[in-house]
Amino acid sequence: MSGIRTNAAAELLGVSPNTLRSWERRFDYPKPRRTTGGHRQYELIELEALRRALLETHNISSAIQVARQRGEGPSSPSRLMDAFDQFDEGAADRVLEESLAVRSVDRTVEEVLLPAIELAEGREGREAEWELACRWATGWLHAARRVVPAASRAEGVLLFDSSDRLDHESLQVQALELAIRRAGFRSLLLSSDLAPERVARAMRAVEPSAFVFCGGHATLDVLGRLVYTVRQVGSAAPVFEYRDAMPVTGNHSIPSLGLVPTEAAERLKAFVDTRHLEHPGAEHPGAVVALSSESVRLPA
Amino acid sequence: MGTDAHIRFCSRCGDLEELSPRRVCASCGMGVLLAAERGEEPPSPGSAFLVCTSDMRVSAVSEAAEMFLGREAEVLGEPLMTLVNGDEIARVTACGPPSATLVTLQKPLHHLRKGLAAVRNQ
Repeated sequence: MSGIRTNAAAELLGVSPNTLRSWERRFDYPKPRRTTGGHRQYELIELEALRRALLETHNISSAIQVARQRGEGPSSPSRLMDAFDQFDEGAADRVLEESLAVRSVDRTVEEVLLPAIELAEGREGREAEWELACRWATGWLHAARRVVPAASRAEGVLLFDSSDRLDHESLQVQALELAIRRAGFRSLLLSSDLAPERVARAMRAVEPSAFVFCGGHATLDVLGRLVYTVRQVGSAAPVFEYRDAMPVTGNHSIPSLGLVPTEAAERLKAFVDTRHLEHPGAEHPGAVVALSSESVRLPA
Repeated sequence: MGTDAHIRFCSRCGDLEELSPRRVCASCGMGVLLAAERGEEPPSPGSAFLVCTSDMRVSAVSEAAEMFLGREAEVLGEPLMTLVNGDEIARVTACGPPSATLVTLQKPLHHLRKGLAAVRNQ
């Protein structure tokens, strides 16, 4: 999710960056999230609420109180993180229910749930809150997946997940599967370290039109073995990666689905639809473009 | 009143500032800039004053007034007349925006003692 850096946030409010930081220390508001590099990123909704409140009040603490109350309108990642920090699953449920009143499921996942998880990650001494956040988010995504209507498309997508059990990437993968299902595809999410014969059985059952590597922790060995298994079973369906899952930094020929679940689902749809137009007779149109294991150029 | 005045004062520290698009005091960062009524002097920096809404409840308190009346959090929203009596008010003018009443205080000794004791007890 995009955020606003300190200097831009300060300029928007007509204050110095130091003043903004002093409000954070004193009032805990506006409450920025931190990037992995430790930079503050403010939410526009909080800044806007505060800017308006400053015009309507005579002192800073009242303005912040007013902005806080207004900030509680549309749910925000920081409100969800506050719920995690209070170990209050009911409050977390309410934040997302409120979000669903004004946003779609996809936007709720991408604008509230995943950014809140990112906010909660890596904080010193907050490991218990972090674990609750991951478990709660996993439960929420599973519940959302269960109520997705039946697949409206013939194509299936097999996702290979290399993420750790409790981490941000794991939730990104679950969010991706939700988005893919909501886009009408059949899907199956498997761990990337499954034995080849088990993967082969799953592939025969799903007959995937595309494979997606995701999770960010796979080694080249594992991915190479998976591609080999895929081709051994006779599938020529294309392989994609999601969120830079390929463990190489240089050129490789695995096309990317991007960094965001809905963006990835849209790219898959566009790819499959394009293939279908080009090859209208194909039973599994996504399978027309072949990507062999040899096309994955491994670094020397 | 207010927006067309040239000098504005900080509702917290009382510092004066030329008219600028800023809303927040650049000196202390803890008060908003208000303009005194046309023709009226703004409070002097460091002076004790309150800003009240139309129903005469306190909506801002200067740092100096906090020393007499107690902490900002305890004073905000309180009716003016529960905090001060007429003898302690030096001047009443208008200020804003938003439209408000500026109450500048004298410094009676008993309030000073009460305020200092409250601060020591925090």
